[in-house]
Amino acid sequence: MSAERPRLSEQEKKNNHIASEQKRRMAIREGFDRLTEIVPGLEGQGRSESVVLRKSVDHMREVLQERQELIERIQALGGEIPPELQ
Amino acid sequence: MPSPPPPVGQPLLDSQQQMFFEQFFDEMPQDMVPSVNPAHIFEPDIPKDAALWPDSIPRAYQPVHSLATEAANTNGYYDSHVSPAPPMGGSHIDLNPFTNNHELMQSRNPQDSMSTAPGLLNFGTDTNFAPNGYHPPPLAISLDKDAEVRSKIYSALTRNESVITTAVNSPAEIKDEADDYNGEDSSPGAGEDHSVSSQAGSGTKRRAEDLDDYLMAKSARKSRPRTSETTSKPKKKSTQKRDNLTEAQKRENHIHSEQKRRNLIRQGFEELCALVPELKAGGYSKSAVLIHAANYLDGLKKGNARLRLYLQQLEAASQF
Repeated sequence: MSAERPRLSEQEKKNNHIASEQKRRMAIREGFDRLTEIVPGLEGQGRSESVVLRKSVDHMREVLQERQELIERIQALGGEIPPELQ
Repeated sequence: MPSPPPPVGQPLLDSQQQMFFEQFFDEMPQDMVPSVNPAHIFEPDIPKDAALWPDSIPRAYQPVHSLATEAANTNGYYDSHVSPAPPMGGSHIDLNPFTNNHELMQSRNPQDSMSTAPGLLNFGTDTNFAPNGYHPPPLAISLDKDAEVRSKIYSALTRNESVITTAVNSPAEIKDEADDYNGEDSSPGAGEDHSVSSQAGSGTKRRAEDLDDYLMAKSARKSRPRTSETTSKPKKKSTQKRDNLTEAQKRENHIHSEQKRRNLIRQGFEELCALVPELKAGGYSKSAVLIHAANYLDGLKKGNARLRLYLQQLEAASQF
């Protein structure tokens, strides 16, 4: 450590810890907020984390199922599936 | 110089020891010999009007104030601040504060008198202290009973210190304890109180009012409806037990539901990790899982929209 960067005091360490924990929770909340924007049925309701996760998982399975059906129908019609959508 | 009073009882030192001490002081260097004049030990140079006792005490023993003394009650209560003063006769001042204590110590220890309620008792209200000395009350039994009642009161006040319990004192429990105390002393305590009040028939007004307050408080507590002691005691225990159980159950339920909640959340994260290809490796932070899952879902939906559009075009083309 250089002289112009003195050691952090206990209070500063504590404050840093609190700040980083707040940042972590903020990032998690933003992730949940993004999912609630994407997943139908979660908009504007007081959702718990577990509800968001379960509905997101269910919705993801539906979308994957839909993807599978679309691919089969396109292939049945002789269409080509782009590799990034396989 | 007056000679010291002759020692009472057995001499402390036998002749040999006495000789040894005298020899010791004779051989001592002169500047080490204590300069205290032994006469002062037995007749100190203290002015007669020195404040050895609080001002009120000697006056209480003067015949001028005997009216107040006569008017006071004979309860065996003592002033809470000082040990009893020695009898005062004319200009003679007895400097020995322990002159009369041997009589007192038999009936009451000093701590007892220290803890008497200060508002209730004042100096000079005890007729046991007459101008010619202290006279124990004629009814030794009433004194004992009084002390008994008081010790009960104190034991009730300090009960919580001796009981080891982690449970919070609920108001119901405290009420129960007070009732228990009442039940124990209701018959002897009431008798004692009435005898005291009858004795205090000629008491001063202030003292009588205090006693009335005390009795009123006592009867008010007594008038509270209460079951008999034998039924109330087990009931109290059972309620306490049930309270503890519900507390424990509440805590357990709370822990259980919190575990359930966290398990659901963890399960959701795990399923997301299993569904999202980029998260299959695992070991991502919660926020990373959520962002990747959201991005992946977003991409899936956009891809599905593209595929849907493509399918519509294919279907339209296949119709022609």
